[in-house]
Amino acid sequence: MALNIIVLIKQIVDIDLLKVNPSTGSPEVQNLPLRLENLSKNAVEEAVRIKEKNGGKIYAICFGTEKSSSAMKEAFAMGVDEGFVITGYQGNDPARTSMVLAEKIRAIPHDIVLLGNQSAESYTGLLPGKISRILGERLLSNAIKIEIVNGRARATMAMESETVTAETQLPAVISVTQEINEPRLPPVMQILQAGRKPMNVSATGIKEVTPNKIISNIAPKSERRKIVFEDIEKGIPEVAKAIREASR
Amino acid sequence: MTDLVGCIAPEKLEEYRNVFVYLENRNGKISRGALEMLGKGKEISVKLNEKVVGIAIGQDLKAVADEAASFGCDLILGAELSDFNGFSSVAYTNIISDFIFEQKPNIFLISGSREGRDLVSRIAVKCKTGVAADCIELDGDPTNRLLIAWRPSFGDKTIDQILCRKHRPQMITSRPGSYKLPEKVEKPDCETRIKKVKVGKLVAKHKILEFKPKTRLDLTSSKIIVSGGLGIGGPKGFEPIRKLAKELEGEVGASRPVVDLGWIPYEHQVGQTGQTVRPKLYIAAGISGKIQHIVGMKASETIIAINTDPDAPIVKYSDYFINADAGKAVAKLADEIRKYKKAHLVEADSEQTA
Repeated sequence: MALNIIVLIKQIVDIDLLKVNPSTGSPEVQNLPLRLENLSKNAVEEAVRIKEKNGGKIYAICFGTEKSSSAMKEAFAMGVDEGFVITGYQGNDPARTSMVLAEKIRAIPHDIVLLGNQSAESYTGLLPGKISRILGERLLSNAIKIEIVNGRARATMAMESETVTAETQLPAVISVTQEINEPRLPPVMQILQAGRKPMNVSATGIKEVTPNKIISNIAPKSERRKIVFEDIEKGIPEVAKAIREASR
Repeated sequence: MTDLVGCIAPEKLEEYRNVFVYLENRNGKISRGALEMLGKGKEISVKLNEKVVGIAIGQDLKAVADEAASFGCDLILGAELSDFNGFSSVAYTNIISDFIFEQKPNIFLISGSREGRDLVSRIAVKCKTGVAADCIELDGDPTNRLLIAWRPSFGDKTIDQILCRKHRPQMITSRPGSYKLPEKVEKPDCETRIKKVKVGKLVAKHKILEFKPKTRLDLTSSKIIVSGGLGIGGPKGFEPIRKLAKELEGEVGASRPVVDLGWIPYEHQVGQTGQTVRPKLYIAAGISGKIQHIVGMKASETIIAINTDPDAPIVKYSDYFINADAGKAVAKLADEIRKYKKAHLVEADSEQTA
């Protein structure tokens, strides 16, 4: 059966390159390169695999900024057919993000909504639950395997202390883990064609909703001893002693 | 639509009282993450002069109640499921939300396990309040009866301090492994109220086909972990790491890049998308200390790092740092430990014969 698949993607700044202002302790996010978030790649990969097996169409939705078309193009190159970029993202706010995304999802007829079980930048892991609850759709979370069987979604889910295989009616929201697949490196032809796929850009009208207020944001202080051994021969006996003490 | 999910601030905040903790459990045992939250909940409840109340769902709740009482729970509200055994985010969300509507908690703490995150997000939508997820420290403000929460942002390069002033309950999650396990109380004094609940209809459309306990390596309660990163050079680089782990009777961990490269299975991954660990001793060999790794291990009691790069970020999170090739240094450490153990064993033997 041909399926309409929606995959939710996130664009993040390259957090490996993030620097903290030494005098204020605040993060400096301006001018950092942007890229498609790690778990979003797993979600896109899974969407493409489901489409390859069952047929259908893949829509991607990205709640971001005017700059998010580059993340969408990465998703296009991997196999997404049509993209929706919603501008107006102002930072990590799962309550607002879930509302914005749910509103767009409702406007697209769909069988499956795929997304990462968390993001590599803020990793709250709240979106799958929030979105499924707002939509009133079933949630299969932390999937390590997804199959479509007789028009129902079947997923093997890696939970905290057990692995659960469950089946649910469509439409359903499915969150994926990093273990589910190895995201493909898009072939050059697909990268070249990515620019030609339909991309719809609109702004959200949904304002801030979160009741939680961030009252400060500073770099953590590390209170470690930081004893450095430049000479391995001197270091080994000292560190071996520290190991014995620590493991007592 | 805004009505459905928008957050509503209750008018009478003083009606909301007590610190609630969700007692995630399996086979009559409370999960480690939930016990950590119970410990934090107890501390905060004492500070705010409120009660700590446990919410338990499942089967065999008597054992769960006894365990919670032994850690200082003041009241336990249970929903014993008569027709379903397993986890259902739909059914559990409804049961917990009913408890919240009825009991009006001031604070609600849930372990940020995979089940916990599914639940808390759905409950927050239903109860129209916010969630501060993955907090790493919590404190109570008795004057305003507020919870102060700290959580990492931007993958832990910075820390946010968060307040939820106007909405109730103030909902919080922390990843399992974030806090120490609480001490048992001397004289448990706890009231237990368990009701029977049927959820058959709610779970009908969602069929569980298989439910098997995970055989996956659990690093969250390991005392000693020796982890390898890209600096160990290749899959063979794990040989000295395994040797040292064996000498120390510890486990083997890894950073995400080496898991992605297939050098070692995912179950060994420590960090943001792996496991959060807090062993007595953590040895990071050839791990540069990207923030995604640091969040998963920085609560370790003692951290030892080995790296060829003296400017690697891991240095500032270490108690001891050896500026050397990770593989060589780990092998030397294993030898040193083995020699010491052997010498020690001989000493002990000679004491016995004397």
